Amino acid sequence: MKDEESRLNAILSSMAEGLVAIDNDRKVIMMNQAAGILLRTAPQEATGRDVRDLLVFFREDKELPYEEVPIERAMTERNIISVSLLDNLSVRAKNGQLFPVAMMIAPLLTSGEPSGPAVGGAGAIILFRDVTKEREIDQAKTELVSLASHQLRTPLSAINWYAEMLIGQEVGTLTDKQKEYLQALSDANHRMIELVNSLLNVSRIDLGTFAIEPTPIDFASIGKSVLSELEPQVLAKKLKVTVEHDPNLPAVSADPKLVRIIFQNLLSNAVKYTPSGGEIKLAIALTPPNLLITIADTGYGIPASQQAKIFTKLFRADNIRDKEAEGTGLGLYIVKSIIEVSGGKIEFDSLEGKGTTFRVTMPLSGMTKKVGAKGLT
Amino acid sequence: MADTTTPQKILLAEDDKFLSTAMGEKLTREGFTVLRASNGLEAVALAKAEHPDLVLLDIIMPQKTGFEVLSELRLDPTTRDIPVIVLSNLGQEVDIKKARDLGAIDYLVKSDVEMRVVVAKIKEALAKLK
Repeated sequence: MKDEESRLNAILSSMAEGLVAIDNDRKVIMMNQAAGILLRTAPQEATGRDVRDLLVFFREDKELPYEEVPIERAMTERNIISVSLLDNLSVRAKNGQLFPVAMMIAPLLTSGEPSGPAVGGAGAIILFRDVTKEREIDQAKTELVSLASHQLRTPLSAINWYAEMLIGQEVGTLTDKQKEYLQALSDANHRMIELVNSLLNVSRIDLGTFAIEPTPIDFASIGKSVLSELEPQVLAKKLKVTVEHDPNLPAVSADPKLVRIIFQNLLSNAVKYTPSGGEIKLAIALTPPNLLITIADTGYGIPASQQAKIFTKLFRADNIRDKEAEGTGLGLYIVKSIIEVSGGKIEFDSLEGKGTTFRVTMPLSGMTKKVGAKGLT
Repeated sequence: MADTTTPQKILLAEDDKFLSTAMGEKLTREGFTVLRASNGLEAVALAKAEHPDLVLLDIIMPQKTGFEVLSELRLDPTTRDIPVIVLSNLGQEVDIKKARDLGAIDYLVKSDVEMRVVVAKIKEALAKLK
């Protein structure tokens, strides 16, 4: 017995990752040496303390509200919760310094107990590490993308401009076939520019450097203007488009560029991923304290097994990869980031082969001004 | 009223050869006289010597950036009132604000704008001057 205990202790103290075990009352049962080093707290000092005082979470220098603390979520949902680099969470060490953290919290289930919300349980195990290095690499990558995007725009502009002169027959007449091929070249180039712009937006979101410039705007007119830009595709696919909105929609203080990006991505996705003859509905309703924007289509839908991933960078669902070559897998990531930064929410229902409905709620109180070096384009 | 029979002079400050050629030819076909500068120093010198009706200005250029060119043109009373349209691939808010603060009348991002739009903006700006 003694041997086993010392062997267990040796294992725990040799671990490179911090480990904290807590009971059901959030009291620390034990903490290993690595956790002690990360938190600048001696392991024996931690025993018996409330884990909420030991592991204090921050997102961008702001303490995380209680209900968002991953340990609480794991305890109440009684499920394993993992926190990655992308969650942007930090933990405060005893000396007051914050370090970015990756973490895994596993509730201890009493034997035979199924996972999921329930009474009982026997506490949780928290494994964590410092991801400062990873965060630096991520930052460097983002800066590289930003720089490369600017450099890529120059040759893309040249292709655009020369194609424009040729297609406009400014330097001689073209055969129909020549015109058609040049148009294909120009369209492909526009897709490339869009991709570069999306990459730039993603890097700005990831760097946290994008600006929000709110001004009173009418959501319905932005939605309609985006729809009118999509008219050629709508007509080509013979889609039925309906727009409904509350006649008394108030002007909401929001950044028109960001709102346009939201509508552009959601509506162009609806058009792109709905087969000919299908339907698209845009509805904007007043549901105080929010504005509710619904965009529904009768399109290909998102396979149930992949629905959890649709807001992930570069994700594209399997069922549309071979139907639609276009698409960067960045749009919904950008949309979700903008909505969340604005205090809104995005949800969806989707049934493969039937269609998808996105619901965006935006607070009527509007977006908060954020000074940033770069606006999204 | 400007004399409509003499072609208006546009100073095109652009260091990328391909872009400068494309835009230069386009403007010539539209009936403008085009002066081309391939760096910031040349742009300032040409503006002072030739007094163009409008400057189409890139930002990232050798010798002097577009921002420096703008500041210098603003300091000289003989070039102070020449309208400047920035045509750059920098599209950040800070860049746009800086150019506007230095007196640029418009700011266009090259990759997002067709040449005919640039021409329309130039004509619009020149028409306002009359």
